[in-house]
Amino acid sequence: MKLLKCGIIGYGYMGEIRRRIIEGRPDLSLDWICDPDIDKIPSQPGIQITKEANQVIDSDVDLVFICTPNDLIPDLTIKCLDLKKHVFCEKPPGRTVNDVRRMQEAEKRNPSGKLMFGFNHRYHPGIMKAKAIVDSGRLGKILTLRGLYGKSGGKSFPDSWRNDVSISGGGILLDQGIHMLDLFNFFLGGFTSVKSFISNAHWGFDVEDNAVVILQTGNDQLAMLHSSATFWKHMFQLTVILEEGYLTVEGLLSKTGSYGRETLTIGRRQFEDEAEAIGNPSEEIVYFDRDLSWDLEVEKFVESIRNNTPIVESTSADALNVMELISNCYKESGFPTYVKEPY
Amino acid sequence: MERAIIHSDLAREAIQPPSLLNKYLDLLQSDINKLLLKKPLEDVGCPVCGEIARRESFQKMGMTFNVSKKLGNIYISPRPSPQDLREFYLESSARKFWLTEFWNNTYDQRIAKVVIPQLEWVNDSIMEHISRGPVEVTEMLANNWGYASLAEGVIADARYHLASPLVPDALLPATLRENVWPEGVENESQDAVLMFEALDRSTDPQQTLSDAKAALKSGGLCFITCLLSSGFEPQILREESDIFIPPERMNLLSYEGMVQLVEGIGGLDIVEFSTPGVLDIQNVIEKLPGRERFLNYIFKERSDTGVVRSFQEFLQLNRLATFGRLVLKKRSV
Repeated sequence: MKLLKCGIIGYGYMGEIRRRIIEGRPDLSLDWICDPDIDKIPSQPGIQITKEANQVIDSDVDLVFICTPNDLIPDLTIKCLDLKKHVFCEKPPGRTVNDVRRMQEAEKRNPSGKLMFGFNHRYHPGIMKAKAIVDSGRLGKILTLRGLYGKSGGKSFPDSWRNDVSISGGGILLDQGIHMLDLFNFFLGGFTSVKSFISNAHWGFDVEDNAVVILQTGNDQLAMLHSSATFWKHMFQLTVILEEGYLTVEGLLSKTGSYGRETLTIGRRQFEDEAEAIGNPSEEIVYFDRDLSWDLEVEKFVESIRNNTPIVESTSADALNVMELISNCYKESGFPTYVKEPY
Repeated sequence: MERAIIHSDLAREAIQPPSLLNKYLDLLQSDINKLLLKKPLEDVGCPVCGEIARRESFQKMGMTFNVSKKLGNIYISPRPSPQDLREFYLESSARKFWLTEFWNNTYDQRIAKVVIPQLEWVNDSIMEHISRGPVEVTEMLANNWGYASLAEGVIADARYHLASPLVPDALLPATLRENVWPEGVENESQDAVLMFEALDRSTDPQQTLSDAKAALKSGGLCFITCLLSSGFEPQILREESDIFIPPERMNLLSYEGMVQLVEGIGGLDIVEFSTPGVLDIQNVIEKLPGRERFLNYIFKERSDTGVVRSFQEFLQLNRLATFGRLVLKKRSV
């Protein structure tokens, strides 16, 4: 099997993860890493290191992982696609809806290039099992979704580029809430109505530190998200309420373990008598020990390249859907954003 | 690997009413005397590693259970040949009683609390790990038809087969007879193989698991339920426990023994190993020896259902309960 040559542009937290995944696969070779701060990149024979993204893009690599801050993502992705590279692009997919549209245009004019986005939460074990149970239909149709996703903030949080709106395009909703909104889309397929309240009251940056979003589908299914940079502990919780029960994914397996153990609680609606329902319904709690989400999404990406089949999950259409949702949240709340849509 | 905790109100009396259980055990003792003990039995070593050394042995219903030294597996030796065991299942009046009287009188509880949840567990894992669409599913060494009778209604788009069932043809419902494969399963033909306590009753667990692996397609799933010798109940009660019923409990592997069995076969990844048992404490309380002062205190004197629930949850979380379940995935070549 031909080795696929890879380059990584941007060597922060995500760049390091992508390196580990590439190096763990016998069918990929890591040929280039680019970052403005080359001193932080551990050198290794066979890997060329550069400050210049164009050196990676102009090289003979087959696929490029774009792991840069948000403002650089669209142009780099477009350049790679126009040079017939396959691109795996981290979230968020740029700063605006228009960024995604520009990338989609490049994707259309280069049909041989595969473009996939890093919505890795779809591949977390708790989410995959929850989705399988929903799809099995045994708990009926989804009535509502409720998501909590937040960070504690930290010593370096105020200095992060993520709080510079000219680079990031948005705050906690765009940076982290995007994963939960993508999961909402994954479970319910999109929304027709959006209500939102967005605030920067605590940290006082140009970007939001809290967002409360309420959504409705055309089938009257409701969803609610609280995305926050003031939870004071890292927290992930997604509850899916169905006609015959409920599913809660809580905690997330991560490198640091700061989101807690990842679990899926499966509960079945048991009682019609309201007084008895107060007790403990029959529940099953599944504990997960391994996060293969990074591996699985890259596996899907490489499979699609090898077999020349379309990307079917975490596509540019998924990226567009979730960015439109976020854009509507900003518009609906009236929260002032620095990066304006050009239309 | 995943592990599951289950909160369930399953009570032993509901699935094993004492009057039915006692009659079953009386019939079983008579059948063991007639159909097994009068035939040649074979001495065997540990069903996982073959080791002969034993920590201890004890007798139950005329058969000898041994505790293997290294892995703590509990197994019957000497044991009947596979052919004699099959004849036992097909001719035993105790088994006929179980499949008719016992089954019919506990049907509702068994279906609601045992069969349907386990089939849903199978269906969820198939949905998660195998592409959606028609799936070929085979149950190996079944000694009843509870799962087979409901499987196609619970497992989406499944074609369900019974491979070499240990059930008399005459008792098998007519609707299921065409699903029986008496000679076993074609290699690499199945998306899922189900072994509900099948390793417990097998004369050769290594061969049985190897057969399951051979039957699976690449990426296929093997579902195992079993009783574990490392579980709380046999660890506390040992031979006083009612779980040592020959020949049904031919092998009770420990947690370590089960892992070694799977690793020894090779080519199978353990996706899930849970011990979601809910009967350990109920069973232990009934026969708790006086020397277990702490357990007597927390289960009897403290009299706090919250403590009992939390203790059972601790057992499940740490894979220390007696009932075990595993999902194995056949590696892609």
